[in-house]
Amino acid sequence: MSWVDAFVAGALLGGVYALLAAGLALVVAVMGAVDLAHGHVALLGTFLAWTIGDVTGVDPVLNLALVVPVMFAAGYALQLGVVDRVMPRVDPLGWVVVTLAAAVIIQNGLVEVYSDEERTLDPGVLDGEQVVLAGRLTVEWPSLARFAASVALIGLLHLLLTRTPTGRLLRAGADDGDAATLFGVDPRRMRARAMGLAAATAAVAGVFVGMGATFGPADGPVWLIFAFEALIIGGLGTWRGAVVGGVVLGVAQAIGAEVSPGWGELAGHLVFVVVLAVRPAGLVRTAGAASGRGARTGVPT
Amino acid sequence: MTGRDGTGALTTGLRAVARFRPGPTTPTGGEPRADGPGPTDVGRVGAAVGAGVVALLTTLPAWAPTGLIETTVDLALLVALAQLWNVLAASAGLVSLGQQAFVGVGAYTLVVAADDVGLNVFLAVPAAALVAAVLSLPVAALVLRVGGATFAVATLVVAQAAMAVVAANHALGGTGGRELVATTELDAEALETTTYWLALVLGVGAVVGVYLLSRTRLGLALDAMRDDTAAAARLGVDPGRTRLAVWVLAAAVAGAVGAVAHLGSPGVDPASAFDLTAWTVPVVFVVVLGGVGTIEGPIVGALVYVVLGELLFDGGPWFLVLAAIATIAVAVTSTDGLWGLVRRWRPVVLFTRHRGSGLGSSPDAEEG
Repeated sequence: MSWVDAFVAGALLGGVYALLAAGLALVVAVMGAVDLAHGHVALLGTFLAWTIGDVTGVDPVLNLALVVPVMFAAGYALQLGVVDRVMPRVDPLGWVVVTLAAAVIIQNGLVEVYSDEERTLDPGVLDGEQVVLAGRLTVEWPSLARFAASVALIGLLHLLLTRTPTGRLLRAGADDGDAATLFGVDPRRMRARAMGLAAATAAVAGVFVGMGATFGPADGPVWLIFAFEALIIGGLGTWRGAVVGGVVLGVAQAIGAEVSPGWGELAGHLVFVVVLAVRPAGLVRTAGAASGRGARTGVPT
Repeated sequence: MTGRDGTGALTTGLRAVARFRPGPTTPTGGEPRADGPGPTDVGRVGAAVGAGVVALLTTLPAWAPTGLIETTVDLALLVALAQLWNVLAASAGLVSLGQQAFVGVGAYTLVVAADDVGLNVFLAVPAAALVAAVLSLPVAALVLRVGGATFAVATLVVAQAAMAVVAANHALGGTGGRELVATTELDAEALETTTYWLALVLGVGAVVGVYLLSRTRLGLALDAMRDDTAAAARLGVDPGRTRLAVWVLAAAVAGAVGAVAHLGSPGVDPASAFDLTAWTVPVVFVVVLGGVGTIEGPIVGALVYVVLGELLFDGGPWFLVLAAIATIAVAVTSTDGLWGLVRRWRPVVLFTRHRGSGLGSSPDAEEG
């Protein structure tokens, strides 16, 4: 694979990282902290899609029609029933402990059910021939399709948050929970919806990652790290930040792997460390971030 | 660990445990309770129990089978990590999920120092602590700028990056790791016994060290920060320096733990030396299950965790699931953990305090 091919493949995978990061960004905005189980939730959705495919023979992408509502319901119920008792603004240690413990439960549950072995998903309906972009530059059709689907889903999330009543309430709750409560918004249900949306998008992103690479029960922390790195590289507060961060991370990993097979992930970590050191607010500047040191909070728009 | 002479720290600590009265004493030195021993007596009983346990532990190599020795080594190392994580998370507000980075650094320092440099295997343990402490400084510059759960993930990323760096380094054996040759030349029994002593010094030293730490200026600063960081800063506490001091101290202990834990293994590889699930997840569980913000809690938590881990499912995935469920239950109900249950039953104080309140006195402050 040439450098240009690696660059394009990395950028396309970066779109999937952006989708993984988008759900995490929503959690950060609404809850005020990173969900440590985000990667494991994505993994859970991916294994669910794999299992349904294994049992029914329907391909994993079509299974998402079932997986997405199930993951939304699971995220909603767990937030409302358990996680809501340890909201990070009140109990930061409790939040970290509970989301970490949730991650441990998912990981070890998956090990017991599926064993440690690595597997991969069949691209199914997204499968296809190589596509010639220009001259000798070609991409795999599944990579292009999942990139397009990821960016489209982020756009859909944007519309949901800006154009629907639920989205307005979510944003109001994230901007000022107390004020929103005064106007009759139930902050607990808003947080549950945000967690449901995060779990659902994470599952889709997980299926997209799983059709291009192998995955196993131990990959949760790595997926969380990719989502987190994309968020920090791009900067919180805008969808553009998530997409830019995801693409930069994907390109860095692909170029690193092209230099030496063991250096893919490492190159991504290096870009993350450099951005955190010299530009903690992320590559995409927002009006809010330009004035202060910290990144903008609030629901990405 | 507290700036005192290392050899005398243990006996000094035990004497200190015996000498001091508990927290807010009345002029008469604590009123005896009608239904049992007074707090002062309880403190002395605690000191006697502690000294007895340590005395029993020192006889272990003479009679215990290898299995029990190995389990006690695991327990002592877990207690050492848990004590320092407790100070980091509960007092300094640094909820780190990256301590396995320093465990890994310690393990690799052992291999490099013993096999490449030719240092005595056991002198490689303090060397591992030193290297981990030095490497924790640039990491601190990066991660101590962010707070809360972002800090937790940032430390996790740093640990993952450290593993990737080691795995990409051919001199360190890449993903396959390195064999540890130096220990193969030693007598197996002598190696086991010395490993046991080093682990015991780390475990007991961490308990006594954290106790003594709570009585220093740094300990008072930590107490003040835990209660209200902004107010502490106005009263002259430097939160940044205090956090840095605790961070470096915890890294040094984790480095030493990494070296001691690998003394008996045939080699070191990046995936297990930098393993989150092996080195940091149990520590978090043990602190929360035992009781956040207390010295006794992590000891009780580690004891229960290691014993149950041996008995149930051989410590496998189902055991971790059970431990995680129990940990969530403790966290969402805001209880004080196992030590809190003991305290509700009897007003036991093992680590009495001379001045102020702090590590060991108000376990309810963190799990609010």
